[in-house]
Amino acid sequence: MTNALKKTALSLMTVAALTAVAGCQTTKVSRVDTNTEVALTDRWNATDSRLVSEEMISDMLSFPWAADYERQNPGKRPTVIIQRIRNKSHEHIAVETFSNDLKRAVIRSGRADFVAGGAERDDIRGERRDQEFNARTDTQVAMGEETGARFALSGSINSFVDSLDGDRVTSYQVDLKLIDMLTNREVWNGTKKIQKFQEKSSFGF
Amino acid sequence: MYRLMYRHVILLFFVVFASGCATYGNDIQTALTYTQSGQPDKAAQAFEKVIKADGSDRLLYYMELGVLKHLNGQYQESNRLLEQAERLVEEFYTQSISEALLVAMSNPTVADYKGQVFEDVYINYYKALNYLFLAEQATGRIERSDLLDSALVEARRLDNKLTKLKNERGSYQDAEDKKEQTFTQILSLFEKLLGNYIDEDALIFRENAYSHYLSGLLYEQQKEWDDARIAYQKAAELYEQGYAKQVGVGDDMIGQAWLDTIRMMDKAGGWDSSIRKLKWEKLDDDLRDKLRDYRNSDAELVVLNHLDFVPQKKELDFVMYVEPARKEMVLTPLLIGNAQESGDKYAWFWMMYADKGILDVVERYSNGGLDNVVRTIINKRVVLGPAWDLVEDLNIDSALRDGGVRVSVPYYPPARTISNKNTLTVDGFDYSLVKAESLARLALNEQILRARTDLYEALARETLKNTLLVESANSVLGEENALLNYGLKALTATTARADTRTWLTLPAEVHVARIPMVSGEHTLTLTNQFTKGAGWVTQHKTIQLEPGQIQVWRQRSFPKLSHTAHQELLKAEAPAKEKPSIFGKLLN
Repeated sequence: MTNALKKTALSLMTVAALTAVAGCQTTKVSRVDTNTEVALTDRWNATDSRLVSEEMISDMLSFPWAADYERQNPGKRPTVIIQRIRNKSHEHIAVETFSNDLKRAVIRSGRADFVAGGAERDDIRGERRDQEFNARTDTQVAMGEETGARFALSGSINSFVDSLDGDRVTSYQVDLKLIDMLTNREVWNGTKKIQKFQEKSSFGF
Repeated sequence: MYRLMYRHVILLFFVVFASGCATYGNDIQTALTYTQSGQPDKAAQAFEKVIKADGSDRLLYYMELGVLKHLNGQYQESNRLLEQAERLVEEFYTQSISEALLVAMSNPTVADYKGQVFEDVYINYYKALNYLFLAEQATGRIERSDLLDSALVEARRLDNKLTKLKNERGSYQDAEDKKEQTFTQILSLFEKLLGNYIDEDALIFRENAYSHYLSGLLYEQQKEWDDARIAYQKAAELYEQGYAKQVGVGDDMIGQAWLDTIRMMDKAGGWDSSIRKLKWEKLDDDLRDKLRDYRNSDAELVVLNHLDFVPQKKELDFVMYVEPARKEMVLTPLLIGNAQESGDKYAWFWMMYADKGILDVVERYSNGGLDNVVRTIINKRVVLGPAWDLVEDLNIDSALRDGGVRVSVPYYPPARTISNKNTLTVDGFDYSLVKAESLARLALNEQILRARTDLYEALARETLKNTLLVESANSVLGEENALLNYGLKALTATTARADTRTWLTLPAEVHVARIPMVSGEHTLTLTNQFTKGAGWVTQHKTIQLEPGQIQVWRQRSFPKLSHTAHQELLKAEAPAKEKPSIFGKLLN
């Protein structure tokens, strides 16, 4: 056998052996804090949802609408309903989770209340109707006593992607607006952008 | 004497082994036959028996099952599978060096199937359709809108993928512009002199007009007129710039895409001068009449007719050997199989590999006269010349002489059963469907572009395997043993395989019909006329159109099952006969 060929064969065998060793990994699972970001891809994740909602609500509450309402209605907090937040991005984002993050951020601030809307509100109304027939009268919740929302929160999640070979820049933009339903006045409009850069190598073991 | 006998034995071995190699299509044939017979649930069961979710074919597992579940109306399950497929494609971007080494020592089928570019696009296409049909089934307005938004997520992913592709491969317009350059024209002349008649630029998949067209339909469903207009216009322009020619789509589809662009301009408002201009430039009389019909209708029917299956790749085998006297490497195709198969193999060999250039023929003639020219028609000969010393140094010549070695590459036989007339009958009135996409052509184009690389990789792989084995064996024995060499060649021949894997449940073609309608109940009949005795296939449906509704009817059409395929299905369904026990035998 020629030397060159022997070397080639030896190299191939060494690499094959190393590959075999590298392949002997076992599955390992560990607990991590939910506030710690574990970004495996550039997709929208739980940390994005939480951070964006916290920052946007903080911005929303810094606008004068809440203080104006409290001044006009002493001892009362403004009530907000979440209308539609549309996913106009390229990722299947769990919009409901994002809405819940928004609600939590508002409730935690203690500056505003949320009222149920959409299918959730229909379910509650169904429950009340059911109580009329099936619950004891002293425990029944009366119809027509709902708190009406004064402000409506709506918006959209958009995204832009630029990629070439293994590199990809993904930008997410969340646009939210708050409308005073009494006057149709837009009392707040906020935007939050996040950008992610993902690099992938063409070769690996 | 013995050497000659061994040589014939090894050639016989190659022929026997080559004819016995199962392709991916053979492996999943039962599942395909069940699909063709309209039983996608049984097809999925049959498929899962042969292809597993954790092997090197796992991408195919998710893609094929994704389509089968879609055909069975399990749209959510189909999306779950296709999402897995999409993530796998992303993972496969990084090429594994260890896997490449493994392939070099065996064959490409041991590597993960990574999918072809157009297949990646069709993952999102099917996901978008799944969301669209889930939206049609939704009872609530918000739920329907959310599901349509999910379909649009897939449209945006498609757009991102296609933009990336265009940036990497250049647009159809770039390819057209390049053709006009003098340097390219001179280069093309030399290519033809060298026998390469295939214009590779014309075959490269750069964008996908039909995907943009579907995106337009999805945006229109969500009443986003501007986005719909942009998508339809992009589709129309891509068809015009070269996509239609690349996949064999006619002018009628280009007209349809422009018609839809004009409709969206009309709905969005503010495009009056563009509409007037485009109506006369892009539409013929029939399409202008159709545009008027839209104004008198309050609903629309869209038929997406998916036809048949994409073709299956087969295996073409060669014997590769060296002729030391001529310092040449010779490739002889093994044209085994029935007359049709061997004809297909020879046609592919001639089209892709044979030395048919004027310069080649002249060189052959000068080296050996007319006899040598004739011999090159049935062989591919590579003059090694100065590289011969390297061949001897690496002992490649001893590994490749005495019967040679077996090399396998994939090829596509021509499509034989095609649908040449597709008609939609609505309440007794006939409408023609227009061809919007040909995945069969996309698959064929990709394989033509890969053919040379496939062959070179196969040659290098089989040379390396055989040289290493023969050299190792001889160095252990301390001398060359002809019988052992033949045995080792027989051994390596069993590991030579072509990669025939492709996503086979995809349709060969998509034909489209869009009919402006009046709301109410309508009866539909879809008729496909297939060639080669596969006959007429007719399917019926009754729809209830609401005002403002765009109803999409996605219907798959297959030619009738052949008698043999029908018998195969019956055999697959027959309960396995239990072998009688020893006691049973004794009692009988």
